[in-house]
Amino acid sequence: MSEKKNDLFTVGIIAAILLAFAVTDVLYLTGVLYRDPARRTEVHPVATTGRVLNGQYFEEWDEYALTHFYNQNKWSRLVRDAELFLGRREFNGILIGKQRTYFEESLPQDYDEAAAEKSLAFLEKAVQEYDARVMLLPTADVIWADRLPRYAEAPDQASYLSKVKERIGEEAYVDLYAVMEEHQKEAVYYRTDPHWTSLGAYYGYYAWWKQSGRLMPYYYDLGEREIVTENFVGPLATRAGMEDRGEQIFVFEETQGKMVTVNYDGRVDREGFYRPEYLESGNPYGYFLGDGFGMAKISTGLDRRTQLVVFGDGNANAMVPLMAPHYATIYLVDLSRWQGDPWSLLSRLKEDGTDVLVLQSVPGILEAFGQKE
Amino acid sequence: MEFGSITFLLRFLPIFLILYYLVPGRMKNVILLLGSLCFYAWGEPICLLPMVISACSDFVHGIMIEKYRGKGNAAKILLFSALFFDMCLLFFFGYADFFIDTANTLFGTGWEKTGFPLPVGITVYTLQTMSYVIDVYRGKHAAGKNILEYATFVTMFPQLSAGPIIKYQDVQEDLRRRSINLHQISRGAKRICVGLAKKIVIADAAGQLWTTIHATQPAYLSVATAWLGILAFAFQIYFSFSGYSDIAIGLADCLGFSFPENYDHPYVATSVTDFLRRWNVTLNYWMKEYFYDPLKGNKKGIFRLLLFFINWGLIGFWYGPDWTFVLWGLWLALFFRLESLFLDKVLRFFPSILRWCYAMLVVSVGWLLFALDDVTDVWAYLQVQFGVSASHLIDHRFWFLTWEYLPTLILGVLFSLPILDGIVKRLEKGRNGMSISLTRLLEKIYPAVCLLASLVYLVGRG
Repeated sequence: MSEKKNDLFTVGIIAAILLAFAVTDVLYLTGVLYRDPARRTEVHPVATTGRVLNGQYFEEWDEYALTHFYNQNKWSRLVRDAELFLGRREFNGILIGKQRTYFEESLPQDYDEAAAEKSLAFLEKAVQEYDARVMLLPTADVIWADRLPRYAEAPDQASYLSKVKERIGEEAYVDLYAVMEEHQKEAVYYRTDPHWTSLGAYYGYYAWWKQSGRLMPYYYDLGEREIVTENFVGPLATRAGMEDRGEQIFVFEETQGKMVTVNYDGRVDREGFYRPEYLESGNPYGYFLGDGFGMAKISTGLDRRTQLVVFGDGNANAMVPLMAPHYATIYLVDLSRWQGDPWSLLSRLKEDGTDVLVLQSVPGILEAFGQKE
Repeated sequence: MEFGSITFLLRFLPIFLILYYLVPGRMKNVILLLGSLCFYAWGEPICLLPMVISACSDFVHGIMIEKYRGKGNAAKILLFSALFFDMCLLFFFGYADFFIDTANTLFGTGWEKTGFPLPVGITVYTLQTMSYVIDVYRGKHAAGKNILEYATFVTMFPQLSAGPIIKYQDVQEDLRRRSINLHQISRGAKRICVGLAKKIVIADAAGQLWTTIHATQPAYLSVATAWLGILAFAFQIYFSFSGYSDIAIGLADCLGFSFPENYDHPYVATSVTDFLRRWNVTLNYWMKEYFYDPLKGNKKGIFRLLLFFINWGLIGFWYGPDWTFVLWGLWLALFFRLESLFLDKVLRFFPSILRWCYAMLVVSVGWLLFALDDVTDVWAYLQVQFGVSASHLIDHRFWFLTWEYLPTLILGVLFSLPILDGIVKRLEKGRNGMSISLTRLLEKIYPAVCLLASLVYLVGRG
């Protein structure tokens, strides 16, 4: 091929690629190419004199152009898949491990010494003054460390947990670390979500029962599961930008028909433990008792005057339904959201003979006390 | 407007090029000027103001200087007036907040900042217009008589983002009359594709790695991870600047101009002097030609030494309004000076690999000044880098991140060292049919691969 033909070929192929992308972009923006209905409603940045002069309009326009390219999701997936193929395993702070398990990346600096000390003081007081039980759940990357990507390290939660055990004593400490490790071959955590599964909560419930000094646990039959969905994709997969085949959420049949009333923050009343509307939302795990509340008061209709206060994060939402047969009222308090004082609440309820449980993930409790003054 | 944006690549560039090639020769400057103004106004239109003022001022000053040249001191006064005006614009629009901030810190003055954003390209076009009036004064070229040609020179968008800094005489003839041939367009298009890939595929990924490591507190970094971080930053900064320069040079080729080279594999340098001859060449030579050499004259001793360091401090300052940039310039200048005094003679006794290690060590410490916001952070990072306060020598995180970014690191090494050029040259030398076909195939497909990869990455990361 002569030099002229070579040049023509080079210019031709470059112009063709550029024009192909440019024309696609124009056809998509003008609506000629199919546009996702959800995106059709999104409006262009608005040009006003002020916004044009201070550059805000142009900034938004560039962002709009980037996020509104034809089949943008597919391009994203292509880039992700190419990067996965080339060995990359961390996307947007999420690690993609073996068996397509997603883990939130944790760094040694995430461990907040001051928050740890505050949480220890809280647990100590709760145990000494209110005979609380403490269940601290290690995260999936600790129990499923063998699923982590090559060279990724699991956080050291064992040393914090042993400090907790030492400070509050063995009697009050429910060793979820040992329980989860014992069942680590089973689906005790979701692959795509940071919480434990109903199966994990089930093992947690029996561990709590053993430590609670009760004569009998409530019997839940693992064979009697009600499958809620097979397509649950949790926020970890979404944040990593990965399309996942989805996984199963199940609940125990016995917990479904229960006539319970849940009052959220003294305002809204809802029937039952489960919220199906969350399954199609950005937080499908909200199926378990919803989310975003500071305190939920659950009335089970039991005639005995028994009460339980659970200081818990999202993981508690999956276990509380299993504990319902033991209590007439359960107060579920999210320490990172609830504005009230836990000690006044406990002293108010103490006279009625209230049980107290702290059920948090390790990062959950540290985060709650990292925020609190 | 950024070169690595959808707005530029898929909207501005195709429309601009189609119009540019369609209009007859005499109209090309009009299209280029209008295109440049649109390019520049996209972002913050108010930033056009200093550019227009500067262009008008230097155009008028140029004509006046030429008129009064050789007639007493009038031309000199006009030159100073032009330079003073340019410096005031640069100071007000580019550096005022920095000085207010410094004064507030040092003297507790409590002055309010102007809040004016640093206009893109102000440091590039100010140097270009300054060199224009200086060269008119020196009689190197005549003052431009055609405001359209002059305005096109000042506003020309390809080099506005990061250089190269061009002089009026570099483009004077082309502004008047230029022919564009297919070979030039092909060469330019290839260069643009390579530049885009450098910026979007390598620099941005290296930037992510640096951001990840930088986000870790130094106390939790191992020695190896700290070095990996600075390597990532070195790739990010080099591929950003040289990528933008490649795009500028390529665009200039496509438009019928010829821009000087600006980066010449700086990471193969075996001394700091060598590095500075390869890094942002047009800036370093601009400062030498228009600042250091004229002021130095025949002076010797402490004044000359002081001037030398001021020159390099200002070069650092060109990169941004922060003292750490000044320190970066001074840091490199120190070794430049030491090399010219004695170090170069000492280094000659060492094998080139050790000389390279020395140069890269100095450069990498310099990049810390470039990358971090204050000297305390630099000191803390250095302590980790040299094992004084590191948690480990090497840890899992180092291996994890190396594995994560291995393709980027490999591409970084391949494209920052002249390895690929060497392979192509070797293939070209080979007289057998296979090596010839392989070279031709590579030549034909690599720009398309670079462009495709850049576009997919750009759209996919959105």
